[in-house]
Amino acid sequence: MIEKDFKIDFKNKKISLRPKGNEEDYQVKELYSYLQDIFDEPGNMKYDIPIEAKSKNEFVLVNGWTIDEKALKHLKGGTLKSAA
Amino acid sequence: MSITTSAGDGVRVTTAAKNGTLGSQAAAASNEIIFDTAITTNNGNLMVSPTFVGRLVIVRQGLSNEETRYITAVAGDNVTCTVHEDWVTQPASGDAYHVSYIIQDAATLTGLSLITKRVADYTSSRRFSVGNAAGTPFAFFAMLNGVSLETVDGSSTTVGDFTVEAAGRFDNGYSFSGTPVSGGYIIGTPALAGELVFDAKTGALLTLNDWFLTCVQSNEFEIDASSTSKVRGEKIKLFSSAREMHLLADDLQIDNLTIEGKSTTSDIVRLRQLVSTGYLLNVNLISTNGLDTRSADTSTETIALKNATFISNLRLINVNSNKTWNIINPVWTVNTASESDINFQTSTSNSVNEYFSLDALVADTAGTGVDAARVKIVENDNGAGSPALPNQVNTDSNGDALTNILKRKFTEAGGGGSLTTVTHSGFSLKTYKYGRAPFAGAQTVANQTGGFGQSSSVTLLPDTFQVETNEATAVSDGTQKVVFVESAALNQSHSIIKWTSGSGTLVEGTSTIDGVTSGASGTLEEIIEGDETSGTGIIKSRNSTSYTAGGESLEENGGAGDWTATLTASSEKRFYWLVQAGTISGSPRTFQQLYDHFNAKFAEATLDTTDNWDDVIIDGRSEFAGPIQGVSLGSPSKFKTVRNVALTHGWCISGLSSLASTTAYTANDGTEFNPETTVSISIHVKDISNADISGARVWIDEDPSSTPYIMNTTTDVNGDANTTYKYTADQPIVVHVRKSSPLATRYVPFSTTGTIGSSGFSLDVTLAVDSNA
Repeated sequence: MIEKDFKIDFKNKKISLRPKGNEEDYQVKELYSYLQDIFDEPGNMKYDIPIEAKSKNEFVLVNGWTIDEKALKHLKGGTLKSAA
Repeated sequence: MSITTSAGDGVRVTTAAKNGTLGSQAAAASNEIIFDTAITTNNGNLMVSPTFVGRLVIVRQGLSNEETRYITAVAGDNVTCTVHEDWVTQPASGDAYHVSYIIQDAATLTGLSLITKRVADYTSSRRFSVGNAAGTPFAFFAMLNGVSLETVDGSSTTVGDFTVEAAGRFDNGYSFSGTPVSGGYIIGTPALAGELVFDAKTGALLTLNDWFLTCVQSNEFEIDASSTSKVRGEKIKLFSSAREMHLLADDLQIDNLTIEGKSTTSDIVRLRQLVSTGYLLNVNLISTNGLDTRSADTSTETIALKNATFISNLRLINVNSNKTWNIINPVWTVNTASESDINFQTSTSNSVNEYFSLDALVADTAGTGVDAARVKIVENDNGAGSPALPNQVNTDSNGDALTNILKRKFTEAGGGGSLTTVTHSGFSLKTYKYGRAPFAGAQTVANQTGGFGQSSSVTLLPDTFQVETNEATAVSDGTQKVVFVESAALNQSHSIIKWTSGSGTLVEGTSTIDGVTSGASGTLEEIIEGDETSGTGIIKSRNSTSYTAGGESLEENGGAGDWTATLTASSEKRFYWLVQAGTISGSPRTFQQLYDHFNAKFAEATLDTTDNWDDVIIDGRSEFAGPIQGVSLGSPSKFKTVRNVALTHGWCISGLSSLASTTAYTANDGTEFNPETTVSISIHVKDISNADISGARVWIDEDPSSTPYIMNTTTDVNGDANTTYKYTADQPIVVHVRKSSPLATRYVPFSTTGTIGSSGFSLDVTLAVDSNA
């Protein structure tokens, strides 16, 4: 379950790896879908969306969001870049 | 003998050249008079080959419809004469008439003769008098057609060389359609300064058109103090005759008078209070020792001069006790550091007041004069000092209103030696007429360039916001009149505050609402929105302590009441003026009714100062002349309050039937209290095939956001998400629409910004299916 491996810090706009997670690898698309699902929850509607899809395997972090290197290493099957 | 002459008395005109009663005037044209007999028949002492032509005739002498005309021609019948302009009231059978003697008649007697080689210049070796001390019969002498008289040197300071006595009338020239036509002039030839040249005694009648008197020395010209004398004059020049000059007849009307002295300290021009119809206009005072009242007189008098120019005088005015000098449109410089210009003999109930005139022409947009418009002059409307409304006049049928505005008041400073000056400034002109929008503008109070006083033109526009067409209805006090509550000080203004989380009860007009932390306190005037739980209230006459800006606990009656609440942060607005709107037929006024009432009260013939409507005019904003302004026409029209011209005094209103017509009450600091209005917010969500999307979450909030959110809900089966919003002012917002949950169609998130306006907010959102999720 991706939610057990990835932590979302709304305050600091940062996605990171949970220390005691399963340390499984995930498709970037899975993270994208996961984030979209989280951000349409009532309590999260006030936040700007953290990610956009440019294509099926190309994604961009937007609105000031970042991801740490450890978490990034567990993402496969596409690219995840920060917005320029 | 009707002109007498003797060595002691001199030459004296004792009657008219001819007088009598007119017979039938049926054959007379509008510029004719038919005498009963020829000129030669009557009082005698006429020139050789006398004629009516070149003489004056008075018809109905002494009556209110008396008229004087210059005779220009006589018909062959020797009795039908043409006069220089039409009669106002045609002479009629039975009217009395008097024909003037002229200098050529007097020159037939010993004591008066032509100067050698001259044809119209006469010299007198005896004193010359018109009338007599007994006051009867009526004597009439005129100088006409450019003659001159060089008077005898009588060598007296008490007996004039030329004297007009009771029932004596002396005319110089005549008036042609209002323009003075000169008849001649007089030269005084005293050997010594101070001798009396011209003396108009009690009961003297003078009509002086374009006349001048000049003397050799610094001599005297006197019109003695008299309530029976009558002096009319236009374009008069009195040279070298200002020594103890007396202009003391109280029925005196002189326009365009030049007095030039010899720059001696005795060149004093003495004036007195005139009758209400009397005037001294366009006076040039040159090289004298200034104006004064009767010597040693301390009776209470007001002396007025208009358009007075002071040139090279040793002094301007000498002020005795109980004398008020009103100098209108003066051209002068007053040294206030000493009493060299204005000297106060005492400091008892006296002053010199400097006025400037204003001729206001009030017209409609077609240029037609507006009758009975109310013209007000407001001074010191600059936030400093004490505002005043010193001038109020009404326009005549031509739209004209004339007033004189006090600019400076001079009195003697304590201890003497200098002047105390009270200067008035910051003038504005405000004009009102029911049915027309009020007008206001800054008003200059000074002489205009190249002229006297000021002229202002006012165009009154139709008042499109007025509803009540019956002015009497609008002006009525109703069941309960409007009351204005002025703050004791700016920092004790009335407040409007908002609260939430309230519990307990409040009593309007009784409960105080107190800030627990701040100590701010004031009486609850009215809850104008909401209720005790969550509402907005007007706090009358709050103390000098502000409610805590960040919010605080509120309590009632210093904690003695049962009501408590939480003050909404930054909700307090301050208003120097509170208007209690009163009632009509027992019901609260609408804002529309209040607006009409304001404008009707402004337009009353006599401003209602008892109920402080003068304060409303003074503190009404300059560009609108009142504190209430129409904002937008509609049903109902919208209104707001505006601040005074100094932008320091705001107005709020209690007791209105509702806030439906209120857009804003402008506070002292320029911020506004805007009543809440409920507007709709509607979001419709669909996909690119135009199919409604249900279950999409729609979130809207202020930008930046804070809880509670304006909207955070999901769309219904029709794709709609709706809510309401209490609108007070345009509100920028952020909109998020999202639907991206597993096991259902997921869409690309949508975000935008917008503004909730007075008509609410609506938005159609099209979501694209998110093929990447």
